[in-house]
Amino acid sequence: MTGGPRLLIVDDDAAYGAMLRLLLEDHGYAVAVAPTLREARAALATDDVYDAVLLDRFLPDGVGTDLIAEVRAAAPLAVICLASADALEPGDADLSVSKGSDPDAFIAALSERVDARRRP
Amino acid sequence: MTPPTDWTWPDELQALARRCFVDEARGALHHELKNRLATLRTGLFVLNKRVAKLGADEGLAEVSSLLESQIAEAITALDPAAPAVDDLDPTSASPADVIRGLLDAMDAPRVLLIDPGQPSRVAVPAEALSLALLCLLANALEAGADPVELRATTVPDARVAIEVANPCAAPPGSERRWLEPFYSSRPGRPGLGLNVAKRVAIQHGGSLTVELVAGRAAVTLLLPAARP
Repeated sequence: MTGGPRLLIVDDDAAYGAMLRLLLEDHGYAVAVAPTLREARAALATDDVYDAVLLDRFLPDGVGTDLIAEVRAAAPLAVICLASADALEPGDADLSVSKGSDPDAFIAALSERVDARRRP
Repeated sequence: MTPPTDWTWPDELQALARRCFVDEARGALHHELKNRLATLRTGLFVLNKRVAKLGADEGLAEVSSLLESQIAEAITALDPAAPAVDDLDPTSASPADVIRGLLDAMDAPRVLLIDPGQPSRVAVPAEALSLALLCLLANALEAGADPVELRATTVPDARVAIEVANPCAAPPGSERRWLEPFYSSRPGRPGLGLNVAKRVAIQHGGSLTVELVAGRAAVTLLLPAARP
């Protein structure tokens, strides 16, 4: 991982996860990908402290929102973003993104929140 | 194990079931198409930025940019799938009563309802709950469960868990496939029943999960309890 903000993508769509990873790495993020809630929990249990977590809505072993409380406990400053093929309200997350929406707008919204929380 | 054949879908639920299966199929295709287009758009966006940074080929940049804009338009043109069960009244229902009603309508297949008095009610309309539970029962019955063991319990966070044990032997990791639309271990089956149950659960603030317990699949429908 580089020195940029650390971000965990929780998404079981390997192709989408790979493209998102490239997009975020091009914008300075250090990215890890977990395709299941179980693997996401394992990633959150490591020494890596994430600045942001992108949660897919539907995962093979549950729904992404099930992980929100655990992310808050493991990484209280992490920006939590829900991602879904359909537009949805962020609810307990910090923001939501509809998959396929404007990547520039998504990066801007995410980075604004991540930068605000990383600022001393 | 031979699947029992002495049960049928209740007449009063067939119309709703047909709507939900069609809706589920349409929703699954919409979801898949949107995900593929999202992947293409994100990939082309990355490609555009990298091509622009290299400044190597204006023609390549133009083609890539055009493709990205076309995909963005296709994404915008996709209409969200309207769920059939949204039309139902937002009332509550008793899982035990619904299951008893289903058993009567289904010509009494062998179902063992564990703790039938608990819990009291869930915040899901009776018709939608009937459909979700029918899908779980059908899934277990067609897999040869005899009897189907069904357990409803109250769990933390004011939620109700309805668990159905499926007799199918399932290898480690296979639980991920159970919730893929159109996946069925039995040839000729639509492979949408658990998806319909999951859709009902999610639309009412719940979830559906499949876990392996001692090599067998256990399906759990988690629903919000109704307020007293």
